[in-house]
Amino acid sequence: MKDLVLEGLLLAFRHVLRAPKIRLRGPSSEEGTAWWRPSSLTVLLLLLLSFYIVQSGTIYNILEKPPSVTMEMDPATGLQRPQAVMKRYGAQTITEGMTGGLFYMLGTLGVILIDQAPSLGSKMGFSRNMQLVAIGTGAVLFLGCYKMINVFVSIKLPNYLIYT
Amino acid sequence: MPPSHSIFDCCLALLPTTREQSAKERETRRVGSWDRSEGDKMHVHVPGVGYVRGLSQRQLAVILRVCTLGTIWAVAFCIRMFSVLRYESIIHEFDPWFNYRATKVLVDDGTYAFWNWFDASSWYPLGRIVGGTVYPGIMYTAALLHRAYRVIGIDLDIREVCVTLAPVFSGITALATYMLTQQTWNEAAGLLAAAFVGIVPGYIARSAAGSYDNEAVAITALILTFALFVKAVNTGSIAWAALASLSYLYMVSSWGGYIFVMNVIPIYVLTLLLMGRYTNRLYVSFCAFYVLGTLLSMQIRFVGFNAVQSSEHMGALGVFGILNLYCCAMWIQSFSSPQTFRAVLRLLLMGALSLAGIAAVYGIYSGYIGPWTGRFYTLLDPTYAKRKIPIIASVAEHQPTSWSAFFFENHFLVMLMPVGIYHVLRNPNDTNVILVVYGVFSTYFTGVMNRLMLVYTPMCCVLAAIAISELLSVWMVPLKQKGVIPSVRSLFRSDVSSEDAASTSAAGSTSRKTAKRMSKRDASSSTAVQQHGTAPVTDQVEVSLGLILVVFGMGIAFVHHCVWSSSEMHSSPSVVLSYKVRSGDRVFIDDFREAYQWLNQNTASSTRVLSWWDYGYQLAGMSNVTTIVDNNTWNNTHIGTVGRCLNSDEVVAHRIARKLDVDYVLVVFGGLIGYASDDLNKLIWPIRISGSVDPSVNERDYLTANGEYSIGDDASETLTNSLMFRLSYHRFADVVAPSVESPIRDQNRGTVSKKARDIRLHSFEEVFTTGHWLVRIYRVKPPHARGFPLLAPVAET
Repeated sequence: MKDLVLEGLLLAFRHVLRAPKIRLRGPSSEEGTAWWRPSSLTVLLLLLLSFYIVQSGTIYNILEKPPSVTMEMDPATGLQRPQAVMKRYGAQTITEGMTGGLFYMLGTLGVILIDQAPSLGSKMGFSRNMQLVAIGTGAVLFLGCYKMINVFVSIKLPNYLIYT
Repeated sequence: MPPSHSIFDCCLALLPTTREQSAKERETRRVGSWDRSEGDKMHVHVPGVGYVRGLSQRQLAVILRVCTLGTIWAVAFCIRMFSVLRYESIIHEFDPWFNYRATKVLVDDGTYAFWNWFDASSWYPLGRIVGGTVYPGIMYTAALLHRAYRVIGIDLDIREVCVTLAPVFSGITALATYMLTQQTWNEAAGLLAAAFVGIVPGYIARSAAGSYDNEAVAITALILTFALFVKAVNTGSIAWAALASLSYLYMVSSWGGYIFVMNVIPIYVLTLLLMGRYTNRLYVSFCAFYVLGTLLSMQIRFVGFNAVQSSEHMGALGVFGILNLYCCAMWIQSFSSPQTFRAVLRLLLMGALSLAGIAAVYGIYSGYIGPWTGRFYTLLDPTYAKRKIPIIASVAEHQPTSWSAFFFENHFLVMLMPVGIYHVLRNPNDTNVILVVYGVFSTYFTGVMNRLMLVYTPMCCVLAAIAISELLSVWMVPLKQKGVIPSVRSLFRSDVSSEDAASTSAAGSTSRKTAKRMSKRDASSSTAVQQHGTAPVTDQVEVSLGLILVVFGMGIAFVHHCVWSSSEMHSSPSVVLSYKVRSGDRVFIDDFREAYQWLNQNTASSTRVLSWWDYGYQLAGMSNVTTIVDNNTWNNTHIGTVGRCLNSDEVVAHRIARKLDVDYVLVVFGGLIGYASDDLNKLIWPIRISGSVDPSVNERDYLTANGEYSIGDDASETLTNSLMFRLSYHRFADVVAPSVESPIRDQNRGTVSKKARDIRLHSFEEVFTTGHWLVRIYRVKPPHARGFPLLAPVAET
């Protein structure tokens, strides 16, 4: 009796529910190639973006919730004026963090540009003068960003590079 | 490299070696290996005599390398000695005092006494099982060094050995970084990386002379483990994998950060699998490393069975399983047809996955596999510590990193690190990928905790060295071609005639790569010239000079920054404070040691002293007293009890102190001189931690009506009645503001509430205050003989 019921149920199941024919293919095993391999450029850009997010102190911003700018007293006039750079080591405002991270990234892009400049000649048809311009731009970017970081850090720590 | 003849290799001969695989294996031989023949001897031209036979080019290169690395070691040692030269050779900070005490036990009483040590004089009345809860690596290292010095005749006290241990090991870290970079890139980048790691401030921060802490030896072990494992993957020999596992044992015995190594290496192996770079060498090295490493790591009592039970190690076990499955699948594929193989693979995968799933579910539900501990869970979810575990959140080193910390600790290497990753991604091979994996994970974890900047720094140095080395290798060539810089090869008579355009470099390794790339570029550029008339600009001497000038200028700025940073930011012993007066003299504030010596000389070693947990290790090390809580922070409830004692009023505090058998209470107060890390500024943490233990504590009670934490006139009643407030400001008003109308000014916190005037303590008695009022010691009065409540002393009029 139980067998008949079960047989009937199974028949009903098979009649009502028909599994669609899906061809699921796992990763192919020929030489272990992955089924999705991103190009190097994609990986590099993703990494640069994530480095920007981390190095601009985003996690600090989430946990410590600093203001976007602080106020300080102007010694000359006695009024309150906004100050973007927090004058304490280990603390930052949101603006300061994002700008600093931007300087890190622009400096990186400058050096990558210097490295890419000679091959841009063959890839994009740059003339020699254009390649020199690319190298110059990369160098100016890198040095300029380094100098700007220096400026920010000197505002932050008045005794930066000064032996007291 | 001769293959190692082992049984395993014979078994592995069964695996398929397709043409592509052997091509990959050939390609991943160490890039830039030095295999110039012995035949080129350097002939130095001596006028009047002719050419004289001297060193061969190979010997010259080896001598240069050895001298460079030796100089790097010497510089790394010297740059860390600022505090020893300025103050004296003492142990710094807090944690190193415990390590020093433990090392003394090891040296004086032997290894069995150390391994089985139960310390009854800390965490009174609980005690602490030191043998099972400590990472013994650094103590054994110091003891062995002490003995080694004795053998060669240098009779140093153990304290000197401990103080100078970190600078000595920083040189070894530079050597290990050289080995790692040489294995993954080439020797020129290796020398640069070693030079950077020697003086970079991020590493000096935790390895200055006197900083006798776990990280001093742990970073050496970390880099050494990675370097040895990469060497094992390069050569495929079990010997190197076994050496790597021994180095991993050293890492496990030194620092809790060994979890990082045990997760980065499996993720690196997994990345190689996903990239399709499976080779026999990878299989041999990871399996040998994992098995031997796990077994060895279980020998440390603190780790024990955690190595197979805790969730942090499960990633490595998973990758071990996946790698073996992969190898098995490849083997089956070698002798079956594609259709059968597909069916077998599906069966294999389903079987393995279901088995693993069942094991995982059973393990988690039966409690055999523990969850992620709080300290490491914070790395995945940064808000966890702040919400759930205030102790972890209160430590200054566990705060998240701000953007400027990256610059202060690494200077311009931060900007060059992604460029190194760009170079690695352009020519990935079996060994480069570990740099990318290590880089990405250490960057993220550094963002969460600024203590982990220490782990980020060596990787940043390696990648930046790769970037600069690539830049220099391209742009030095025109200078050598045009004769602006004489090349070393012109000294070699046999090759003077055969100088060709693309192979003039003292480091032959870079010339090999440059030759390949130059020929590729020439090939592409010649076609490019035909098509577009655009030749690459890499033969311009002026551009070369300009770029190399920029690199040298940045190097000079880097050294300037590192020396300043080491001198000003990372050389403070924290036990001794100092500042410079206007006349230029340096004033030392030695109050901590004054107070600890007073306790040492005036109390027995069984005296119980209650203080906030920051000072526990220093009290035990310098005063030789019994402490209630110390920096180990293993018992949250005990710390909560101490916090409750400090933040409640005098009657309740006296009751808690009597329950804990406390004889003295020690309080740090920086109000007179403006020392900002005193106990009143930290009072929010005793409140929070005791609130997590005792629900009757409400943080709101201690804040002003506006919700701020203030001790001014708007200070809350609970705060001004708390023991910490009263002990800090006892007699302060009489010294600072004797007349009743003048406001009481605290150098740290501004104007203090009027309630700080005329504080009379009835259950505590002041016994010692240091010269600058930095440390104040109070005695807990015994209860009245007849049970009456204690009274405050009447003011003498």
